[in-house]
Amino acid sequence: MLCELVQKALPDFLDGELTGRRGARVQAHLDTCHDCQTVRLKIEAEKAAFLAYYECTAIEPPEGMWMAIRGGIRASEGSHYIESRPRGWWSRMEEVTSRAVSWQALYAVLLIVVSVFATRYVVKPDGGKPSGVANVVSVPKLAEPDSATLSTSSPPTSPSPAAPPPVLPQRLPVFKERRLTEEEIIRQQIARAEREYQRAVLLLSQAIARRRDTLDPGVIRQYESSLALIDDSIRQSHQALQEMPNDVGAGQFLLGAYARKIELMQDVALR
Amino acid sequence: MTELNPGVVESAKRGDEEAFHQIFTRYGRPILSFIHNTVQNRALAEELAQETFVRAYRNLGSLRDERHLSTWLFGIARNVIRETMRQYRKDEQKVALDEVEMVKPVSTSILPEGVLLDRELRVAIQRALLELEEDRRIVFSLKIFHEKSYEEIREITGYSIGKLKTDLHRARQEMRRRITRYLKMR
Repeated sequence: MLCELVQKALPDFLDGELTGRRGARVQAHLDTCHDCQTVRLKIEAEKAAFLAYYECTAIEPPEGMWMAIRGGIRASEGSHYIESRPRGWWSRMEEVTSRAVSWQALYAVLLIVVSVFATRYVVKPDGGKPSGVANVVSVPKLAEPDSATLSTSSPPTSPSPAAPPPVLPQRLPVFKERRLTEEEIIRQQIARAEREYQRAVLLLSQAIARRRDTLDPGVIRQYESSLALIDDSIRQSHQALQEMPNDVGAGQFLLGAYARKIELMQDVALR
Repeated sequence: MTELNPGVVESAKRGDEEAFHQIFTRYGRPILSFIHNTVQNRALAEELAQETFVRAYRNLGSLRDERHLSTWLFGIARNVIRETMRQYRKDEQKVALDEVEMVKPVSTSILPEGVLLDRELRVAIQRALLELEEDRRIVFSLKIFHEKSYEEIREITGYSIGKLKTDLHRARQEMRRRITRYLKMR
């Protein structure tokens, strides 16, 4: 009877699953029972054969498997990066915020692109105006969150304190009963694009500041360097437009710089 | 088999691909072999192993204790296998014994403790594994080949300890019945 119980427990005993008093009893019995020792040897021979089978048939991953896995990771990274983060309430908030940031940024880029193309299509390259239209666009003076703002540890809650708050164009004529001219439409589009741009930059700045500690230092350096160049272009465009409000090329260049900045920030914020 | 350097898992969680490559290097062989022992098809096993590691990379953030990395990876592999097998009807999984991919030995040199595994015994073990029901084959593979504890197998499969012990006991009986005569001949 005792041998029957011990032989039944032998596999678990040999696998290290029996501990404490039960394991000690099995060992004590094995020390004195020849029949159970024979059964133990048979079980150990079986186990050795199975392990030998595994060792000589286990498959090494083929050469290209790691590259295929990397490809799978890269393919899924854009849409699934959020899944790798802990799924607490904060990460869900970040997920929602990131989607909002993404849509905001995309919307701003689309508006900016539309404004650029509309400007090129309607306004003549020599600065001439179609007959009967009002004055050309005067770009509003808007505050510009620059790269210096992002070097602080806390997320910025507003654009750079030194810059004036966004100001809507004040010289737009009010036409109640006539259609807007093409230039007025362009001016409105550009103003709207700049508002969306400011909102996008604010959200993206906050998102990047939150994730800053998790980003590779090399990525941060490259980002700040690229951002500084684009901010410099934006400043120069603003300055040019202040000196020559009719300069269509400067306006186009400004909108293009806005689009580049948003793309850069979006790439880092959603990395 | 070398263990992972400290901090590798944390680095991989932060998106360090090279760190994850180290994890793949350490666990690629056991994971691929486990999947192959279950599905008995090399090409399918490689595909499922690839899927396992991609999912592991995506969900590394959910691994709370890196000491459970091995169990966690096997759990993902088990889920990947389960989802794949659901797509096939039971009859389509049965493969005639003479159509089974013959497992080629990696090495014919003398194995640990002087055990020589001849071809007949190797084929007998492979066929005996194929004859096991899937649940029993999985438990047998995890317990015997990969030396997992009952608690770890419970985490991997989701089955109760009672079911695992019963399945393993029956798997051992069936395997013993099929290979005993080959062991006696040695």
